[in-house]
Amino acid sequence: MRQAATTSVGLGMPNIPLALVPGHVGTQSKEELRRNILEVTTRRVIENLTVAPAADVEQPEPGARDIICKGGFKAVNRFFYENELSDGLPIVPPTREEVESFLRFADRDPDEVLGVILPDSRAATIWSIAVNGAMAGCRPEYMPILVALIEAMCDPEYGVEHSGNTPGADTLIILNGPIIKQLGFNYSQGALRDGFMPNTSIGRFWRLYLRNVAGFLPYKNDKATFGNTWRVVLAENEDALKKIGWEPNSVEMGFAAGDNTVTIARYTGGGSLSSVSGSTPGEMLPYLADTVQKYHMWQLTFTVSHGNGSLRPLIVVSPIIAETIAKAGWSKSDVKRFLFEHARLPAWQFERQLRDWNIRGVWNLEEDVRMGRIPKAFHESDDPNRMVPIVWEPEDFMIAVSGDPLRNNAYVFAHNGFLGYPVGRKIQLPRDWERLLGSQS
Amino acid sequence: MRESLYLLLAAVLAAASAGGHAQSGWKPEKAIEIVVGSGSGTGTDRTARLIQGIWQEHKEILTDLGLARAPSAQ
Repeated sequence: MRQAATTSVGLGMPNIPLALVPGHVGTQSKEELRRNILEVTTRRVIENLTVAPAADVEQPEPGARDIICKGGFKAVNRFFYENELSDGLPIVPPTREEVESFLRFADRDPDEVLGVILPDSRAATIWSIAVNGAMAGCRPEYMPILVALIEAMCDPEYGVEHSGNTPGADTLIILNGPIIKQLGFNYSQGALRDGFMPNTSIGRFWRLYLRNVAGFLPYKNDKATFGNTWRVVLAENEDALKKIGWEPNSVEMGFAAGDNTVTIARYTGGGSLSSVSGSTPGEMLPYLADTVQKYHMWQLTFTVSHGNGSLRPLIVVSPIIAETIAKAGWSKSDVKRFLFEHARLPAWQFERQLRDWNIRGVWNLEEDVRMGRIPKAFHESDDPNRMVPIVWEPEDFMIAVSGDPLRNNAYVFAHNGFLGYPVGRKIQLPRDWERLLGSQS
Repeated sequence: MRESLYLLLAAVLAAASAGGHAQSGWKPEKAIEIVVGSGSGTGTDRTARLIQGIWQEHKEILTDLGLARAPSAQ
């Protein structure tokens, strides 16, 4: 009920009456459901329909430049924590001076609105980016990246409004361009580990912005059943990519090689593959394809029906794996084609996952193909053992190169479909970037 | 996509008319629409259909009981 009450405020209907179905519809027998809906829900719906709703109470918030707390480091941190403005770790108090130091790296009007973000319907401004960047422990020179990230967050294609859904997915930020080395991002051993200020603090910034501006707070709009901490920024190893002639992720996202870019997408999980052995693509790729398929189970819901082909699995391979594959003359596109043809499962398993296990109602690949809702590859025969793909086309797979250069391991990210679709943004540097950067060191 | 039942049932209120019910004396005279805030096949959509079916089966509502999708969910 708390989520409904909080969401209704953000949607501008703070007094909307609510009715509850007790328990979870997915775990009750038909009889239990019938009883609950008739005895509890229906009665409440009727009460709501026949009684005037409570008066609309406005809940004013402090202005962007208001001083909301005065005191020392501990007092400020206590205040921020008690008012749900931090993630539980100490924050850097966003004093005016601190915020101004970030704004110098923006070349933008601090009050410029990049978008209005659901569920709280707050404006995403340059000012609030600087505030949350400071709080997260970022350095001021990270500001151009932070702005690009929030521009991406505001892109409707990404679907930020879904960030509080129950599977509790988290965003992965992929960084490309010369800015990786300029700002000292880790893109080598331990690429997804905390311990590197730009990778870690920018990952934390993303979560703080989701909390403080979008409004995703646990027990309210963030309904993650488990969730996890934020992901650190994944920077690609562009030296390794250049050496083997593979394009970076930024080019896959439509930008020019050498552009500084961010790409965001939400992932529900995944995991690493250890010791991808072999000296040819034919020896290495079956293991990758098999793991990619196995890490995408219920996520197949994003391939069909309302998911509408929005599943975009991400495979991060270490440089030595990429080099071994490329040595045989294989491009990224060749690898994606292989994954499309081999990361498959029997049709009956695909349908069982969604129809019987996730209880997504009627599921029939044959009918979906016949109605033109999904590609023909999902029903090339009536054989229930025919192998069907997990995505619509090879280019739905995304590949990045990072991590320990001399370990033959990989990492598969299970995608959250349209509830966090991949979106990229070019990072706009301020006019006097080099001078500003020099003044920081 | 919101899985929340609460939101669904908040949305249920959108297009109903006043009236009475077997116990409460509420008897709607106009058609009622359940407005679903998410796409076809979602948890919310399934729950809306479930409620629609139970109300029809038990004749809780004798007027037309339709299901509509909110513009944002089209």
